[in-house]
Amino acid sequence: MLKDLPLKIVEYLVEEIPPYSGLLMIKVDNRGVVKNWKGNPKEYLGGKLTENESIEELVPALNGICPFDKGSVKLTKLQLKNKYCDIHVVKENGHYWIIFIDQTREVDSLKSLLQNMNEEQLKGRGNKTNSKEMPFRHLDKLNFATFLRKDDGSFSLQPNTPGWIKKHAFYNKASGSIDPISTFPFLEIFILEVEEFWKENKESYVVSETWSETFAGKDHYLRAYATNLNNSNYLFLKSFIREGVEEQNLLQAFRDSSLAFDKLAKTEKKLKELLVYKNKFNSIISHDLRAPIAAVLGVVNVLTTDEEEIGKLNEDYQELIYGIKDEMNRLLDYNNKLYHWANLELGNFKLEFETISLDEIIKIATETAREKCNEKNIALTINVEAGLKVRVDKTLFLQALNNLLSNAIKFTPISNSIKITAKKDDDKAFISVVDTGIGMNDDMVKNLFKESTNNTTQGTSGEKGTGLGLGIIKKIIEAHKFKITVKSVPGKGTVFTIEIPESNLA
Amino acid sequence: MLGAFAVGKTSLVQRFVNSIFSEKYQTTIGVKIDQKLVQTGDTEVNLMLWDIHGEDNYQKVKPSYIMGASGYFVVVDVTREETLGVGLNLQKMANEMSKGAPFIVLINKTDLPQSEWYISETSINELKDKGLEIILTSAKEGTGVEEAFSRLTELMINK
Repeated sequence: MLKDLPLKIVEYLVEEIPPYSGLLMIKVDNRGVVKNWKGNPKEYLGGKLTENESIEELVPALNGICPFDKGSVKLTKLQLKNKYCDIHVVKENGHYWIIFIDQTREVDSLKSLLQNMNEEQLKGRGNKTNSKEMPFRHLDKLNFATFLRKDDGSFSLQPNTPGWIKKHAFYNKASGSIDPISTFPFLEIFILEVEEFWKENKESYVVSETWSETFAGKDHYLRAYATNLNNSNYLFLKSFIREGVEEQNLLQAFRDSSLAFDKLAKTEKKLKELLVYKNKFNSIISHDLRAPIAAVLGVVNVLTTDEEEIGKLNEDYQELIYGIKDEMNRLLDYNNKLYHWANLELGNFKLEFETISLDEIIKIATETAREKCNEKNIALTINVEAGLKVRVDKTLFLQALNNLLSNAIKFTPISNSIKITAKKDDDKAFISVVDTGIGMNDDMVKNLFKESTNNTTQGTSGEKGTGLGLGIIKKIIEAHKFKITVKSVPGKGTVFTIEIPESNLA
Repeated sequence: MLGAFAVGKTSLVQRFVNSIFSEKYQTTIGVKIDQKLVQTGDTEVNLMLWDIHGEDNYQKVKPSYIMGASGYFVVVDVTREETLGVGLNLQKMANEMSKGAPFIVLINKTDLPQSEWYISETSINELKDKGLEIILTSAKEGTGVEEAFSRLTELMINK
């Protein structure tokens, strides 16, 4: 649940908050309006939480503390609906995270500690002499083992020893003693810090980092504390199993997601390398295939244009030769597209802009398309606004127009019509290829420019496609920083429109 | 045991002390202390192993942990290039705090396919050329683990 927290909050959770057995975190703005939360609000606040609620209404203890910009807020052992919590408020990027730290178990232990102390007071046993002699005698209820440092530097374990330390192999049952320093190697280092602290004789305390050891068949998370009282030096050890696991789970979640992210980043890098490799491979192969395809096509062209020679063959062979010619033309077209596609993907091109009249470039494109239109008896009309000039890479832009027109012819039934228009509107130029073909549904339009060759559709006269044509158009248009849009109605036709910005109009 | 998080410090200790290995990554909180009695020649040595939590943005290694160290391992994950930098930075700090205690760099997780290695053999050789003692280990398969602990014990005794 805590994976998406900002780093500052994670650091705060790891470093600043006491051992806990649960967390609720609510993100609010400066006025205390709830924006987001992590954890289970019902468990802590007794009810549902909704966005834009006021935190002051939900948690009356925070009344008057909002706005939080007066400084950091730390409230301890507050009784909420179902739990006792410490509440910390941490500022992060203009918002505030209110952290509810479950301390119910701690408070329950404290309750029994206070209960014992009060009962002793009531029975008259809690006199001053007694509290001076054994000031920390109830801390075992909180799982603390208390050690008094003797003049010779050794430590004596104080009465009311918690059960966990009695289970340690080094605990001497006969004398009820254990040497903390030789038992817990971690203390060899911590004690150096503590000795310095004791020398200063301050009325505060120092706390160690957490460490863990396995004894009596259990993993124990341990923490050491040291303080001064009445000129005596005390060392405390506390074992907290469950809280240690909670902290571990929290860190584990962050690190797991960090490792998963690294793995994804590495996979992405590898995939990109593979894509480049694939495109290079395609580029080289399609380049090298051009010559042999052209050679075969050349021979077939000679055969089919020499009427005398072709006339010597019977009809079956003639059909075979024409079939070879068609297939070789298709192969050449496919190979050319593959070559252009691979090079566009690799970025192996540099746009060479020149100013050209739209009328001229559209004329060239339509001349190329005319033959195919005639084959399907498609009427091709042109309507270009006079005087429009654009700055484009002529070769590439022409290729895009050719592909658009080929696409329109492919999906327009025999004896229908295609229109190509160009006009200026609102400082931009628009070129539209309008067909009266089979059209597409919304899903097809949505996936039209996706880089996949799996979704090729046969044309109205059985024309086969490469699936690369539209991808090439998109690459060329994007390279020019132009836009292309599609509108289509199934059964009625499709309109592709290229939008040329003012900066490319001459 | 020093190193970035999830490089396999705890796994190496568990392999050495208890001869076990778990695939599941369990982050270490604070310091986990284990011990093992080892025989080096005629000498019996009780190794006190401080498995210190991994270094990252969330947990920084406290220099005081290293103060009393007689020797240390810097553990690196062969599949995560950045763990080498983290390890070498920790080594600088450890060298200062331990007053030049002996150390060995363990390149761990070498059981994983070489195609996943991000620390190349060239980088390993470059580190060796700089005078670092390096052992390739796999806590999973146990490769190099006994050798690493024996070698460090030897270095510590002979220092």
